[in-house]
Amino acid sequence: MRRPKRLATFALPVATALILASCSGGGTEEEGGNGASNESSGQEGGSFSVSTAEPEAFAPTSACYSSGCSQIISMVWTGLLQVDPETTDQQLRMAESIESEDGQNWTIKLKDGFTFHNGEPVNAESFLRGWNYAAYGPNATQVGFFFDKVQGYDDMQGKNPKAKTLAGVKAVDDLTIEVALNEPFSQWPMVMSYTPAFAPMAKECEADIKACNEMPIGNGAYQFAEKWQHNQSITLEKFADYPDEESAGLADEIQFKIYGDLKTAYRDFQAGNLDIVDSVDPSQRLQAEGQYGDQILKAESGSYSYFGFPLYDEAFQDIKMRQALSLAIDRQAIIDRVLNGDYEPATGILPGFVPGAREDVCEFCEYDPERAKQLYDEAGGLPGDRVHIWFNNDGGHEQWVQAMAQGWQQDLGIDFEFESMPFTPYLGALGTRSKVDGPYRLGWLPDYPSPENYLNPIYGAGSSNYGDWGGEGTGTEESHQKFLELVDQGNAAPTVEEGIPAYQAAADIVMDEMVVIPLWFGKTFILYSDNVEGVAYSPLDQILLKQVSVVS
Amino acid sequence: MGRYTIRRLLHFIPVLLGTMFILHYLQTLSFQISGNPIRSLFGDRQPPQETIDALTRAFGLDDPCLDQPGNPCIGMYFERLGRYAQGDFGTDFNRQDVLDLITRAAPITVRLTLLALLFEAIIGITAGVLAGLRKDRFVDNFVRLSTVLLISVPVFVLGVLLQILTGLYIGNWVRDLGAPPWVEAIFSVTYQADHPWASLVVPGFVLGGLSLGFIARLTRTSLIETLRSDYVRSARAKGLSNRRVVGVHALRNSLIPVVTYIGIDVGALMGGALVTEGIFNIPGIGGLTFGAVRQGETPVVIAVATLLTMVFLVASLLVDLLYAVLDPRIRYE
Repeated sequence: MRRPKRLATFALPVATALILASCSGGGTEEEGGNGASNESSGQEGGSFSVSTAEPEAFAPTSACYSSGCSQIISMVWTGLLQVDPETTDQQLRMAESIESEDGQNWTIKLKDGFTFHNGEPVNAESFLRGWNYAAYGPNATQVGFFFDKVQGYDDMQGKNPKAKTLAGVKAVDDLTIEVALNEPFSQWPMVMSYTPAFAPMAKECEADIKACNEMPIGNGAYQFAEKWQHNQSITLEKFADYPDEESAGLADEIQFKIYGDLKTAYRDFQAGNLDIVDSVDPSQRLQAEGQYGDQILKAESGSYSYFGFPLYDEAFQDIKMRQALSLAIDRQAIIDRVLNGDYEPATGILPGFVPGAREDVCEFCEYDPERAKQLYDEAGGLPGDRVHIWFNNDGGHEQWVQAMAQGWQQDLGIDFEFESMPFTPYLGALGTRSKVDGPYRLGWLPDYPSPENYLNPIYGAGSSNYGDWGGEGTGTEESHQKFLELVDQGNAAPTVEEGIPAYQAAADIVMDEMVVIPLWFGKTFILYSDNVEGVAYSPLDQILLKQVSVVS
Repeated sequence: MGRYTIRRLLHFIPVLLGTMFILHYLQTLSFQISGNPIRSLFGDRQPPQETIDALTRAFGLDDPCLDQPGNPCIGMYFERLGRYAQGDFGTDFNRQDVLDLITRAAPITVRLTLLALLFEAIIGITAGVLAGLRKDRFVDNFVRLSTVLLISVPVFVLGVLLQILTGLYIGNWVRDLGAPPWVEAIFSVTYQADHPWASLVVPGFVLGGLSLGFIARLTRTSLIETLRSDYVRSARAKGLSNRRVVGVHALRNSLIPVVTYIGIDVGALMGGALVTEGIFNIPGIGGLTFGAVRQGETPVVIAVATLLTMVFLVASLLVDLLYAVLDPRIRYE
């Protein structure tokens, strides 16, 4: 998962990346992502401001793996395609077509007429420049691993790699790119929709990455109006020569105001200095609702919270124990009383907007204390009736973990002990796959709107599967094998739709085995002034800034 | 005086080297105990090992001694010293030059600190002198009461209260009136880059608030003490005017502890502006340090801490030199 913009809100991830700003060229607001708030007039021009946290990096774009920078990157760069979060339709942007006969060899044809903000034409070479830079190990980019399915990726890793370019990527002519993968993967276009990893790079940028980071040169609908004012602001203006009507924005100028603390953004909004607060601090939400009731947009975000089980620990190898612990959590009560109602209880492991998500498919995700107690006793109880609960203490999780633990104490009659620590040592402990001896908290923000993204990176091989599902001697080898096969089957399907049944079956295995306790999915809380219209949010996306119009 | 200054400057060297070693040792210990901070850049996602390795190499954290708990990694320490000597302070995890980060943040914090000092010195000393001269009268009681209040209110409460009062209540009214932009900037909620001084006035007061209380009380006590001393009595006996007795003879002497306090406070203000900077969204040193500590960006933490050590050292040297100016009995040979 990407880092949320602000660490303080780790429990309440702000937004996710992937600008998939749906088309809104001439005022087709109906197509806006979920929860379009106030109708946009589709009026062009004007300027507005929106809060954000200090972005990590813009050049190379592949140094960005966080929602803050990817939001701006997706406005300044136009990638090959976007994925509509509602319909999962692929909306081609820079690409004229993306085709493959076998799911392994892909041919990408580019549209002509796009230029970088400095006038350079965007061609196949520009994409290769960006991709090779990202994948080359010594460049140490954060999202280079998005290319690990491409042939030749392995040769570019290590201290002194054999190759400097991806063997599997070729520019056939100026506007045609061929990509060869190691094996068939139907979701490949979805992966390529993550713009920071797959953005083209201008020659001028490659020559001076540092200068380009301060004053980025992209090929998108907006360009930097001035240098990056660190920790203060970033001002984007419309790129006059942008050829694609459909993905152009409405406002002439968008100012990102950078706040270190969300609470300050809200006060600046009250003082009339800010048009959109990207996420209101939980402590100010009640007040905001009272004062600006009809200027608030609450929308589903893609964040997913769960507790994993250390399956290598004998105490948790009985499935009844795992089911009992899940049944003894009153999700709705915790959300209402501790988490300000900003979450949606999980009734499955895929959030509602992902294709293939179904409601109420998790039998043991409801609150049923009696059944929980019964299952707990049948499982023989935990050693000493004591559970160690693992979580990181620098993300604001204490309160709800406490509430959850007290629920277990009440309903199952067990004592609890917290094993909390900062995130770095916490991940270190999880990584040992032996040290953690109790349920552990984790969360997930998706990279692309595919069920695959909620399955493989969390439970697959070489993933955040810290509980060692499928590990030797856990008694779950078979189910994990089946899970991996089903995910592979989904990946190999020729289209996304055809892959869905396999993904659903894979999700069912996760719930049947109760590998994790699914907790809840996140919601956003966006506040906007009466200066702007058409504020909408898509679960995978951040605010759809391109389709916000300014009231004149 | 010249030789004394040179001697003091030479003292800086061991202090700096020692501080840097302690910082370095804490850094290596934190890596050795809590593990590689690179992994947490990826949140809950497990990136491939080669990605972690490549980033670890790129940030120079691949030294094997970082895997041996307790090992002070002397080699890395001297490497860092060498790089610092060449003016290379490294980069943070976003590949921003640490030096750039500091040069962007420092001027803002310096301005904020200057404003805070101004408030402290002018209001604090004036209030202290007034209270000291009218001991146990209304002014004295008023100063004592209000400074206790100022000292006992935590800075984040004072900051948020003043921010809401000046930024929202008064601020919205001022903006409705259509005041000139610099007046609006004084009453803005956050720091405005276009008004680098005006928008720091309120934060400066908040930052200086606590010390202001201390200085007023320090000046008051010190002045009362001095006014009772023999040489003041002699001065009065000589028939000097009250103004000269207080202004020249008593005040100069009683300011010595106050100057000491202000001197040390310079460093504390620069490093401690964290809360104030957070409330008013000021992109200064405090915010930089806070963010770096949270992210485990040790290159930034070490560079800033080294810089602050320098500030402390220089400030304390200046204070010592000021003593001689204030008290003619003090001579440095």
